[in-house]
Amino acid sequence: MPDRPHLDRRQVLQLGAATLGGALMPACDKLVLPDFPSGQATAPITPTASFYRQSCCGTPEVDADAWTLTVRVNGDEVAEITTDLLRTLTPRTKEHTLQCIGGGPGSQQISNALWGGLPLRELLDLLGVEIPASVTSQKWSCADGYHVGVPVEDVETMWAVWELNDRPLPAAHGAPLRLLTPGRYGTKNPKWPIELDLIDEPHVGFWESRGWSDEAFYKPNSFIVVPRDRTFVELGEIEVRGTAFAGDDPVTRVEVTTDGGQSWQDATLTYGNGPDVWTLWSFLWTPSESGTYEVQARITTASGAMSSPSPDATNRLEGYDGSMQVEVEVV
Amino acid sequence: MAACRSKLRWCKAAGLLLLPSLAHAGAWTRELGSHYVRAGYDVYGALSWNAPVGGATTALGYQAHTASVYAEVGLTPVWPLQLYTTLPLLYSDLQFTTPDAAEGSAGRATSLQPGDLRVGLQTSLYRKSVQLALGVELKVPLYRNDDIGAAQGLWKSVFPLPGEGQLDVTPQLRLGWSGGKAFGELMVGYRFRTEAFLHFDTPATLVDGVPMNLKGGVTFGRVLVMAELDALVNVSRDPYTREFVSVGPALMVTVWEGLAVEARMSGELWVDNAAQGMTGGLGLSWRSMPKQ
Repeated sequence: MPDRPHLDRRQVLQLGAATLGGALMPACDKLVLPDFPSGQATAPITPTASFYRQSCCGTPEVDADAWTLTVRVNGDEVAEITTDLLRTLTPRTKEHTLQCIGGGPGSQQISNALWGGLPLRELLDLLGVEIPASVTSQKWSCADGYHVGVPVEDVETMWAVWELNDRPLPAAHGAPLRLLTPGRYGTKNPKWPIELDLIDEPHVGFWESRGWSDEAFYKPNSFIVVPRDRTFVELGEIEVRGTAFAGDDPVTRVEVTTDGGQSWQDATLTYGNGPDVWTLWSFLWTPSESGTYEVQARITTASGAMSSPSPDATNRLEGYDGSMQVEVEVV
Repeated sequence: MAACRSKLRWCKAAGLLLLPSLAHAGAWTRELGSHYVRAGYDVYGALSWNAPVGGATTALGYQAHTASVYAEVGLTPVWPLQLYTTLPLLYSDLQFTTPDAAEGSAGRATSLQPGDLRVGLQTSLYRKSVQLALGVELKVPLYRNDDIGAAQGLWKSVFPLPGEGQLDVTPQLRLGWSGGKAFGELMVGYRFRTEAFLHFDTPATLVDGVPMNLKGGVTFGRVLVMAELDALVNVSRDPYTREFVSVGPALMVTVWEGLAVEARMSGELWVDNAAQGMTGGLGLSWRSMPKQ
């Protein structure tokens, strides 16, 4: 004889009360999702309006006609850059990606653009600035109060730019001039500079004094832009797209897993333009059945460096180095 | 990640416990035929969050709009025995953001649900200048937490829940005093958590608690001015079960015979495992008047 089903206190109460309530009214729910950054990885060149913005202290009001960038060597003025001078120069185009050291899978602060300007070394040569052998650092001071130290060796690779995507540099991006520092996160790419002091001692900058990395070298990292985290996707062929970047170390491979890392498959690299430019990638995925999946992307660079196995940053203060993961529900 | 989300969901659930109706009979148990009915509308706004908000979503603001009907009626001619019930309809509105949202962009999850049906019986123990009454109240969830937001897949976790989804039984003892134009009342109960969840698959175990209510009022003509302290203190601390202490004024203005307009405000002085906020409410009530 089969056992009689045993009902405990909890079950008895549930059965009794279920007749009273629990089904009087169907669920009546409404969801409006927040806006998500879109298009960042759909276009190789980020439209200026979508280019991420980040600054320590807001956008300062800078009068371009009165603006002066004073160049000093250990405090002594040696040259001056003005807007009038820039107007006499013919800018060259440099494609360059910027990424915020504080960004991550959430904010995805990474953008790529065509910048117009000149290598900093050329500009300083034009002004006749000689850098003594004792100098170790560039101390940049900016109109918004920001300041940052950059190793003097970077003078050879940095650019001073005053155009963005073939238009004059907008105020929010540093007008009338900003610096691009290949290989280093955005903290080392100052905007609105008003003074460059070439000094014998290292300078601890605004963010660095708050714990953020002083080297600020780009770490290999991936972002998944589509599909968004925690969204529905329809069963069938699903395109996963994203960015991969490691600064001046070009990305050579992007792999995607949809089974928790048991297997990795190569994504197609859809855009890249060498060092300092992001790589865009695409991966076509056809899940066999509906359900909840975790999709993760990892990258490998020309030097053999890889993004961290974790979707989280190893050390947030040194920049995002993770392999981003999203959770999607295939229906 | 799943654990974080379920915790987040609990935060919302705990923040949405329904608000008590303004005017219970109190310690003065109604006699046969005596009745009181109130239709009310209350708005709750969260000012801060005291619960661990984990996972991928951050609450920016929460409001709850509650339309409710409360009724009580005396049942017996011999010794007062009173039945009371309240039926709320709750509209919850949670604004949230996620780390991958565009800067300054918020999402919104709203839900319209019936709340917890409360049914109680109360009888008098002592009826002199001091009133003593004993009652028992049953709370029955009329909603289905498992279904709320279910159509939104992984976003289900952002939907606020109308309540804890659990059957509760609360014996209550009420002590009342009146003299001249003033009255005072104290209620102390014991909320017994049955561990029986309706339409809510959750591993959580909620703890028993002691609800308390202290109320006092003075009548000025047609106007009754009251102050109320409401509290729920659990018998032990846990990461889920809401506790709170709130205080606020209330007003009842009789406009015609037994018809009255009621208003109240209350602020939560202390809350654990839930949002902390303020409530404002308006109501229209009808009560039977004593025969002259």
